[in-house]
Amino acid sequence: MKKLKKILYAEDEPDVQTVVGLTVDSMSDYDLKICRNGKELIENVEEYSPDLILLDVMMPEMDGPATFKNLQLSDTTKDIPVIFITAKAQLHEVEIFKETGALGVITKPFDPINLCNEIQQIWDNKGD
Amino acid sequence: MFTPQKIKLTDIIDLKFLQDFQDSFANATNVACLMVDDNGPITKPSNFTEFCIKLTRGCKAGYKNCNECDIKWGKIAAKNKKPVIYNCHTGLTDFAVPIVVNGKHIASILGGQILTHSPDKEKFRQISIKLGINEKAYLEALDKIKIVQPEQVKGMADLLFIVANSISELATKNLELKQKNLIIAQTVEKGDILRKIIEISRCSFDSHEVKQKIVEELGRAFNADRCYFRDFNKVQNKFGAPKEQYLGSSEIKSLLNVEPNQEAMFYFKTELERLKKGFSPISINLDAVKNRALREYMIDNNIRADYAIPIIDVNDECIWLVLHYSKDSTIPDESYIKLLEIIAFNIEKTLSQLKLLETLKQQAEREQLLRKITENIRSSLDIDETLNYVCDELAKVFKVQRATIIQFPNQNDYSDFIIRREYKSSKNIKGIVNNDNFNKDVGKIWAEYIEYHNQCYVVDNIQESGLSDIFVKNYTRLGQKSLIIAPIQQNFLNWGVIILSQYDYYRHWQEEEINFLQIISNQLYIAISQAELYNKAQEQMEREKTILNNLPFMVWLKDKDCKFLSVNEAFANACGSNTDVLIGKTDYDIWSEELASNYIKDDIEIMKMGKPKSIEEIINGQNGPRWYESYKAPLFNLNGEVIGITGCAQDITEKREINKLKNEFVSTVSHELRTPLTSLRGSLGLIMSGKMGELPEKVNALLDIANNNCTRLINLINDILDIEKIEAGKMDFDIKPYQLMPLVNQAIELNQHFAQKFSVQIKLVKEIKKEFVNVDPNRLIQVITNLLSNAIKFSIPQSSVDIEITKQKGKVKFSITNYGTEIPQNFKNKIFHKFAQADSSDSRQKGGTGLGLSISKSIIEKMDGTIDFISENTKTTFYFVIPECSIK
Repeated sequence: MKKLKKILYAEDEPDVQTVVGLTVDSMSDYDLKICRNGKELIENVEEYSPDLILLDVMMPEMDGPATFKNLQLSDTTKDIPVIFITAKAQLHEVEIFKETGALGVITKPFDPINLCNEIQQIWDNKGD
Repeated sequence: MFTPQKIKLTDIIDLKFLQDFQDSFANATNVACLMVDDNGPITKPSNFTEFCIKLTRGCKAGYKNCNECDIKWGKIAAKNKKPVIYNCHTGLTDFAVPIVVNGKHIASILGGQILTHSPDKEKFRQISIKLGINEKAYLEALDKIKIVQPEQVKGMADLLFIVANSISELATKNLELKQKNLIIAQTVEKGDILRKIIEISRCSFDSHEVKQKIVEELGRAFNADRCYFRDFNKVQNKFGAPKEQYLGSSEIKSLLNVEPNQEAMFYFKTELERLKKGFSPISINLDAVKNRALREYMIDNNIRADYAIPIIDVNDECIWLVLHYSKDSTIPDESYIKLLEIIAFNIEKTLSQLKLLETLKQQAEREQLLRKITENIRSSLDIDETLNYVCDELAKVFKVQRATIIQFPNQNDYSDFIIRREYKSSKNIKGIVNNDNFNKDVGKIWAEYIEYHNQCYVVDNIQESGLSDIFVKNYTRLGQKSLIIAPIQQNFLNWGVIILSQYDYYRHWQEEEINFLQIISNQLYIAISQAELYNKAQEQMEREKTILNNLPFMVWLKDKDCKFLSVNEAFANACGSNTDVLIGKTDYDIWSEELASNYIKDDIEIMKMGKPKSIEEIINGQNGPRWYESYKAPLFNLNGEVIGITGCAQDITEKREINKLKNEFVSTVSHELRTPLTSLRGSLGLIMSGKMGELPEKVNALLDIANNNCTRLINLINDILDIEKIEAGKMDFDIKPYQLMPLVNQAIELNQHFAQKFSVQIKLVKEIKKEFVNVDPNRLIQVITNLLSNAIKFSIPQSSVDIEITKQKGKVKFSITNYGTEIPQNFKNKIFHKFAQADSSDSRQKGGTGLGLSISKSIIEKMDGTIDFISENTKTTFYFVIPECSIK
């Protein structure tokens, strides 16, 4: 199994960007790059070539699901695993994200101490 | 038919025989011969001399003298019972013999016109001068008269006497025979009369017609000048005018419908009472009448003799059969009077039979009338209409001048009555409507009588009734004579009375009439009760209709065939129609075919299942497509059979719109709240992890507070979202069979940390084995966690929270008990309400949201379970019961 290293993250909220950035920095050795929205992520994804993509759901310009659709349209990006991080935490919403092919869903507000463990667990369970 | 007053010889012996006999005697003796009776000659004179027939009898005076002479000497002969020889007034010699029948001298035979010696011509000449006869002719005729020897004369007289005796004998025998024949004839005739009377009695059921035929027959048969029936009215104590009459000729004065002189008539009544006999005629002859009134009456009506035969029937009613004769000569003899008695007896029988028939007929008619009135009473539910009809109809049927229906609205004061209807046959009749002179206390007397009797109260004569003064006075003032009061009552509840008032005469109320009125009044009571009930029902219906029409949602009622029985205005408006038009229509008349067939399919299914159903559906009505929440339920009759379907539907289009907006709002708000919370929690978490460097103790304490409240805020948002989802029916459940115990253990495990914080021990006191339940595992854990955290929070430190799981009747019961404070009494009934907390300060102390139990209840109910609690003596047990799953 490939070791998780490079993560690309789209999040419009600067505070959340900071918290997630600090958390990943202090709790793991992942390389995390943060984009301000889905559009920016699409622009950067090929150049950065991440192992995993984290997508916020509600974002300006291009939201999470739209970004995910875009990623799947391109051969170079369609195989990159995606985890949604969302405040829409209802069961059926989680199911919908999973059905579209997302690797996992992490609900907001998350516990920063467990965030990296959670990401790692989902990565480890992807079963390839 | 009547015995002649005087026997006439020619009635007994044929005149021709007499004439022949006389002629032969005259021829044999060569003398003149003639038969006479009191009235003069019977036969034609035989062998009369010129002297007599032409001259003496030829003049008026002579004839008169001859005739008188004949009669006189005949009588003398009869008296002497032997022949007499005498000189007639002219001086000729004659002889006379009598013809006697049964001792009665009925005629004489005369012979003679002879001389026994030479006449004294001078004497005859003077007679001729006296009578004014030609002297010469007279004397010449005298010369022609034979002279016969006196011995010869005597011989001829004796011979004629013998012959006369033979004629007398023959006449007597003939008379006997004739009388015998007459009696036979009379008997036959009497039988004939009787037979005819009997025949007439049977010819008709109409007593008037029968009576008319009887008077005609009797009048004719009895040779009366007038024959009629006369009633005597016992109640009025009055003789009535004849209604049937026979008159002997057109010259006789008619008494038909003429009121008789009562004083004159009473003679018969007193006579009857004096004689004390029935069927025997009371006969009077004008000559014997002393009573002035009667005499005047008889003279006035040209009555010589009056035969009045009383016919008294079983009811003691009297009717008189009357025969009048204006001439003595036509009055019938005794034997005929006897016949009258027999006839009267027969008439009595006939009349009582007719009366019986009439009574039967009347009863039948009354029965019919009763049916008619009853039908009318029953067919109307309008009280006033019914009362008016009954009042007026009764007045007409009973032929009373006034009928009144009184109501007693106040059972404690009957003088406080209401006149519901007053019928008056004419304007002149004094009534009690608007009559200030009528004392209202009479109402008490009416009520008193009917209360006491419970049936009709009958007063034939108000003045002589012996009733209280106030009663008699009030009615006398109205000019009333008789009355009858019928109660309109049942079970001693006096609704009111019907009063029938007679003004024109004192009326004796008949038993049948009283019964009839009683039946009507009973019927009326029923009708009134029904009408009152109906009015109440009508009012109720009106009220219900108003309620239904004011409801903001559609309501409808259909019969078994899905035809509309009733709809409210909201429904009619939605269809763009009105309520009346829709009755009897089906959904196909209102909606599109597709919509209608769906509705009807639905209705049939609901009626078949017998269970109500609630659905949300779009109806494309007058205002375009709109959302409706419909509730439909089958209708049952008393036997529990489905007889139709009822439904109501509320337009929830706006509500849905608002709900959608609310959902979006809540969703947005929760997202907008979660995002800053994510930063907040993340930051706090990072600081507290120590990775950001060591902090002073006091800062750590403050960070704890911040972090706890952050967690609380997150929980609150989650609960609000849950509640919102539950209410919108959008909480997702993934219900599948699961073993219960692993889920319970998982929930205990999740709460161990929390329990430790409160120094409370979670104990699994009783558990089940591998039983399955049909649940959404996450939701069930949510409920158990909620109950556990509540139990922990409200336990006293060092106590335990006991969990018991038991099985009962295909169900599983989960109980959790904690020991601490009891739930306050006033909080018990709202414990499952939203934001329910016994003490508002609790939320801060215990960190709850007040939504947990409400959510738990909703979740358990969604899984077909129930949740409840028992709290007493510091011990509180919450429990839920869910069905055990049959599939293992």
